[in-house]
Amino acid sequence: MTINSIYILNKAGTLIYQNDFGNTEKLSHNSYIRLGSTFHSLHAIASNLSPVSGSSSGIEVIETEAFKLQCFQTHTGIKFYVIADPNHQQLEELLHGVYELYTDYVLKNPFYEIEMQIRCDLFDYKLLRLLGVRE
Amino acid sequence: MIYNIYIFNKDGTCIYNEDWNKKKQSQNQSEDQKLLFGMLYSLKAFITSSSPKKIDDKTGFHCYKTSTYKLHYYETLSCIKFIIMSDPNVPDLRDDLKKIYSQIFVEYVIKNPIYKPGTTVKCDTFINQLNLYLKQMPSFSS
Repeated sequence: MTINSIYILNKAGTLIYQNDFGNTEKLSHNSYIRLGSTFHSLHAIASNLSPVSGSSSGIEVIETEAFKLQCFQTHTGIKFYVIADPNHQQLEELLHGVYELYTDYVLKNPFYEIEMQIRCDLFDYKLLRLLGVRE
Repeated sequence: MIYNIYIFNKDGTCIYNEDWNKKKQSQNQSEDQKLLFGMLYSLKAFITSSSPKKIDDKTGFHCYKTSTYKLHYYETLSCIKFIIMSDPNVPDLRDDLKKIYSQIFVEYVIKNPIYKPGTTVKCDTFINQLNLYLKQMPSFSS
């Protein structure tokens, strides 16, 4: 069960963290930023298009023939989304795990400025370990 | 529970739209149709570029889900797009969309001699058959 990439967007839709795993093809840094903000707007439009009255969340899962995208939005508006194998079952738990690591190793880091790019070695390290255990 | 169906032709015009079990009255139908088409267009571009493997443009995208609805998508080789919105617990409906295309749309719309390709569908037999087909599905009103 491979995990291909993880993206984290802040509440304005800016990409603050992205990483690829396995043999995923690398894109340019600008493309990642563009993909992140595209997802942010798709997420917002999808919640607008809801046929049911009352508020709807944005996109939670996208299923395609080559991958599955699972998104988790926190109450503070930060979006975590992961691209993985289409048959992966535990993506929701995984995203909660990533959120936990984010609160512990990014938000509690005194040098981290909120809403900015995440450059914390400890977070990278713990994230790899989390994925290593799950794979 | 199935909420609605949309059929778009290859230019992005909505040629058929019907609602069932609807809980929200939309202010502007045509605005919604355009928003949906535009959203799916960008969604497909997004999927093609974020996919780890090579992905087919037409059959690549299957469905997406939010907390209140699920959107099922099927596109034919002639670029006609069939979209059904249902509640999030309904299993994959792409086989049904395929059947709606091959057994109902082709039979009663494409083979209809007075239907002009690409225009709004107003054929009564198509509408009746479509309603008949959807209403016998177990997930239609449950």
